[in-house]
Amino acid sequence: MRLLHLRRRTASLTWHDKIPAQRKDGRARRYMHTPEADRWRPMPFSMPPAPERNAVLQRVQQITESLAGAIDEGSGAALDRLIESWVAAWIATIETDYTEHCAVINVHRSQAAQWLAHSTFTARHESEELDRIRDAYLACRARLAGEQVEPGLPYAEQV
Amino acid sequence: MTHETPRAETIPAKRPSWAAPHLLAGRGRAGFVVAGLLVLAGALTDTVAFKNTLELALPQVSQTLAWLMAAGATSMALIAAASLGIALATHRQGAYGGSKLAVVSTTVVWIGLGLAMFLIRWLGTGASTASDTFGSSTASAHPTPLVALFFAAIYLISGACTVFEAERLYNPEYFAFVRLAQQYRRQIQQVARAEATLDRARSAVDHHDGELDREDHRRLTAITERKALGAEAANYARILMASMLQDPAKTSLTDTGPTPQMPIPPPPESPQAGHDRAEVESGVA
Repeated sequence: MRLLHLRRRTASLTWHDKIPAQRKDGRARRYMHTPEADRWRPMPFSMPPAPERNAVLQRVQQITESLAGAIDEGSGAALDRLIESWVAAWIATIETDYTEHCAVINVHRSQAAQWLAHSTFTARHESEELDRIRDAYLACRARLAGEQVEPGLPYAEQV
Repeated sequence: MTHETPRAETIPAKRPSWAAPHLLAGRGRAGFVVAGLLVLAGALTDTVAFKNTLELALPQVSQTLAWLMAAGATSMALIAAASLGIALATHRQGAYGGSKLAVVSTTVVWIGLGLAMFLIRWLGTGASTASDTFGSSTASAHPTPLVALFFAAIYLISGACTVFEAERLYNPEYFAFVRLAQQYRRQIQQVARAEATLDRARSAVDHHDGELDREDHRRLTAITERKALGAEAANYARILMASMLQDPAKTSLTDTGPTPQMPIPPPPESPQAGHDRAEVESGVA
């Protein structure tokens, strides 16, 4: 649910997306069609707030004062394990949120990667098609100009 | 004073006839339209002649069907004539690759069709139809052989004009050149569009890579902050304990305080690094 909410929020239109893609007078479009993956903007994730420093120190002070009379028999690390558990809990919260944020970003990144792969192969195909047409065009022009062009061989290899 | 002689290879010994100027220049639009109209008028005349002949040969056929059959026969005759013109144009280049049998058959069919019309019109004098077209028996005031000869002349001249035009206009090399030039221009735009889309896709992937890096930095910063607070709390507890000691001899209580290990902050990543990563992922690099 949160993923959907984040996606809806991040896929909202910006001023750039609101520019009309097609003019009414039929002239050439200035801006190309914008896919949804192109509209995504950075996601404003919020990290869990840092614990209140004064509250933490006050809690340490309360626990330390409760040890009055027994301090001489203990060591300075008497509260270390407790404080480490607090730190572990804080870090666990951070890791949980981090995992969730990365999952959301990876969903969008995967779609962008899919678009990238599709665009890559489309661009390759179009480039190869352009090479083929250019070769045929140049060979045809050479034949009309009276040059001898070997059929079946690319024109670029014959010049 | 020296005279530079032209290089021999720049002047072809014999120019291929597909590239003859009068073939490449073609015909102007006005001439094209006039020629088309003349051929169309000849075809209409042929159609009328065929229709009249069909009425003589098949008097039981309705008017509509007779017109349709006449139009079909005219079309076939013109197609056969155009095929002959194309065959002549190909033969002129010395690069004839078709079947001689097909050419001969086309010629025979074309001439045979005209001959059939001629003979039917000549010999079919007994038939009488309700046709109001010229040359029909109901309004015939001319000798039938002359009418048949006139029809045959119309058929031959329209066919000859079609043969001539087809032979003159047919230039497959030049047609291919024009089509390829159009395809080339269109394909350049296609490639530019595809490359632009590819760049945008790379930018989108870079954008999300940057977001992942940002989350890494934020996570590292938050964890470091918590660890520092924990170390401060542990040291604070030691200080409090030292102040509450009842035995002043125990002075080493604060020596064991934790010192948090600060992580090395990651270097700032340049935008080009993300771009390179996206290229590697797409397999272009």
